Amino acid sequence: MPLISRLNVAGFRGIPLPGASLIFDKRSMLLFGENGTGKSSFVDAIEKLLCGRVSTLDGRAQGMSSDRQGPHIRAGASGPSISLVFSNPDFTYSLEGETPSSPNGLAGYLSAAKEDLFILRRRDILNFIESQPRVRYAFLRPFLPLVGIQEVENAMREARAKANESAENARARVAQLADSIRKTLGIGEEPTKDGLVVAICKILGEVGCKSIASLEETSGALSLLDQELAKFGDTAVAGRLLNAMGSVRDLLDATTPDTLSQLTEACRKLREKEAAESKVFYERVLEDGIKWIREENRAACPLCENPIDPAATIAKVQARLDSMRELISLRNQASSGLTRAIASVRAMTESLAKARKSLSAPGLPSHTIQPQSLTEFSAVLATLDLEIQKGLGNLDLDALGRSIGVLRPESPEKASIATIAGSLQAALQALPSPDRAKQLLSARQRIDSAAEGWSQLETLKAASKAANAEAAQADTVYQRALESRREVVQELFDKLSDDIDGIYTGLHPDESHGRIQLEVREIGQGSANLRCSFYEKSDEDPRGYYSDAHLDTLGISIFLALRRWHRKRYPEFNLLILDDVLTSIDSAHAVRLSSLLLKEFDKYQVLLTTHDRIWFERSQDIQSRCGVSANYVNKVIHKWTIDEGPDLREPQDERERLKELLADGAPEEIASMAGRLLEHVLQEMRYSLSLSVQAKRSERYEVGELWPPFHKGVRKNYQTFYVQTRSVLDSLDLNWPVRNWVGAHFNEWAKHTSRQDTVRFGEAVAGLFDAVFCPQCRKFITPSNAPIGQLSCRCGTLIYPAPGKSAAAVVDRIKLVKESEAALRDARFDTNLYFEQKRADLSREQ
Amino acid sequence: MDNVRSIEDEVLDRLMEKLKADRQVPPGLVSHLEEMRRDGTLGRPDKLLEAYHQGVMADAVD
Repeated sequence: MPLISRLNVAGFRGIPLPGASLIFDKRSMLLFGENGTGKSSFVDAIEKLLCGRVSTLDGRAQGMSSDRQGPHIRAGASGPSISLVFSNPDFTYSLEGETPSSPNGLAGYLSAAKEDLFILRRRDILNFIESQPRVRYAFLRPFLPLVGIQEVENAMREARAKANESAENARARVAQLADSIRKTLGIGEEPTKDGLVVAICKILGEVGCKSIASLEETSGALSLLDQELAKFGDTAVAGRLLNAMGSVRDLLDATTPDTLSQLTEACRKLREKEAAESKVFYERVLEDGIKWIREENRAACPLCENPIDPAATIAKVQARLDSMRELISLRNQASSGLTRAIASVRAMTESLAKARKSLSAPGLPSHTIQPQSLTEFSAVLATLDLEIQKGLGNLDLDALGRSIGVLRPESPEKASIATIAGSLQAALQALPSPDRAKQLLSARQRIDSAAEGWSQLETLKAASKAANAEAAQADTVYQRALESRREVVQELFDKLSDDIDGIYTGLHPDESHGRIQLEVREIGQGSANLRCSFYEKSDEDPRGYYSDAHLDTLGISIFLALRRWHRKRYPEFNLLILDDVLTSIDSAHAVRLSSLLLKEFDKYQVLLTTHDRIWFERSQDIQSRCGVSANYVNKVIHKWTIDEGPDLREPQDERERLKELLADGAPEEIASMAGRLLEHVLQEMRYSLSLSVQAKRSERYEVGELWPPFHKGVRKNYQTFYVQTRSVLDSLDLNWPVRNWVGAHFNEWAKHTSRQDTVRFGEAVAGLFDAVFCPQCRKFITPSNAPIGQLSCRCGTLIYPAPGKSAAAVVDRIKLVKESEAALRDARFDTNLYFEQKRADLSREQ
Repeated sequence: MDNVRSIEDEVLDRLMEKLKADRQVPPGLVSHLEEMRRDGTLGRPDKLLEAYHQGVMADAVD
């Protein structure tokens, strides 16, 4: 598994040229530095290199980007340089910028890193908790690979819409044909099999023919009519004429402008209304908005997230919706009108085809046929069909109006068709045939037409039924798909919730809150609610009851749980970075968090930064207690300057360098290095000896500010140390200004300071360092717990006993931590004992 | 959580179970959808419409 062994950064964020390095040596790192010392610059550099962006810059505000603000302000033209050196048993690899050909073992690592889900910064802790449900779901999306399901759902939704449209069209065609049958038979009610039999019987009765008992007997009735007609000689021509005349009249009836005029009128009104509205009407948005505000009890706008008064907003949106009801109604009318118009034009086309067919029958008098007028009419219907297929939004009402004009009875085209009907009528009347034959022919034509229509109607009804069934199936499948997705996602949320809750309650044991629960919301597909319990309250938004610190630990718990999920997907990617996230957490909870990280995230390479020195020290104790000290590099950034960046140098390295310079270094080099080491020592002593130093806002102190309180403090409180190191201390008390004369700056007046003077200063600093820093445990001396006045290092190699006392053995710090933790846990404050002693004290004083 | 990679499979498994248990859904349609799932064509509306059509037709024959 790849492990980072080194991070090199130069000219980026707070790290100037020639650069600084964090030596991980394939271990985790605990990095301490006070505020503004460059900790986050290292985190930014890792993010920039692995993710190609820095989340604190890129996308945060207009004009901000890691390309623009990333380079150190004094980096110049050379630009930033960032590299990560990885090691694993198979390779050592240095990553710098884009790497099209990284080693096989690193490709998965780098691919997973790009998702940028391994860094938690202080300002991001509450992101998940504070997010709206949809944003929260988007945050979880990388853990819910459902792109394929989304595609399937979209396809199912589209198929459902098409199936519904087909079903609606089929219903319209059934209605159209039923209407035609009603007209043919002259009945008012919905055609039924029995109704048709009754109507046909009536027609047969009118011509004195025998009734039928069922529709199946229709062909028999038609044969009987033919037999009757045969008595009148050759009636074929008369029959064709009658048939042609009927179909042409049907065409005249069918080609009415009514439905198209209604559509045009509805569209015109709709457009006038829409034009009168100054704003675009987001009907769906307004309706959804009301629903979201009501169902989620939202106090913020779902779109812009600004605070709102829910009741007032709902009332205002509802009023807006109400005022738009007319528009909605007009839109519905126009939509229905379009559906009717499409069916109407289809019926006209079918009627025209029928008329043309009947007119082409053989034996008709040639003077009755005027195909040219029908061809022109056919062109008009084709234009109409094309026009209405454009849909409501694109309808050209003027073009539609012109076509409608053709359908009016007074139009030349309709007049031409009427002329055909007239010619056919005249031709029929001119035939030498009695009225009886005409009645029989008419009856035959109506019965034949109704029977044929009924047959088609049954087919269309069956098709409509099938289309309805398909639409129902499409809806069922789509709804089940949504349910399935919600259920599976909820089950995953439950597992994630358990993980979050486990971490959170681990950080807050014996506290009556937790039971963190992520829920898929019923409304909408991509959203997640976050609920919790708080004493007897359950199923609550944590923001309603949790303190800032509890929300912080909840945010950290969520991040860590999600990081585990991410690791499950990408086991080879083991990096975890927590950048100064413990600001508002008290020490007890911070210690629990340390234990959690060290125990449960021991298979991760962790970079943990903090500005809390006490927590930094305690975390090192916890590392020992958990037996993971060897897995951690504990690093301190001593200070930061704009020109030199973070100061990561270890004191013993500075001591070694000073030794070399004392042998052959220039005076200014000796003074500079000795001054730096002295400053380092005094900074450490400032903390460990609790020196009284006048507070400075920046917390950065010069040697001149630290030396006097140190010298005074050890002389007063640590006599043994003072006596044993007196020669060094006295020398430094005299020589420390050399650092300022020639070590820190160039001073014209100090250029004659001799090498001997700087060597004397350097040797004194080296002597002090050797007196206060233990090479065994690599720690500076600190006051012992007992006896008061003793100074010692952690391992006891360096001990300066209290005056008049022998050296006391140094307490095993790990053991002490364990014992004190148990003692603290079991400790009980005895109030009775307190009052007894207090009363005794008072009586003694009286 | 252990099968994070197969969430999509889990959703589709669940969908097929629901459809099989639904008496309103013809078995032929479920078989067709399972075949489409294997073919990777569940994301195509035209294929879905074909499946609904054939499902209804098969149901009518049954």
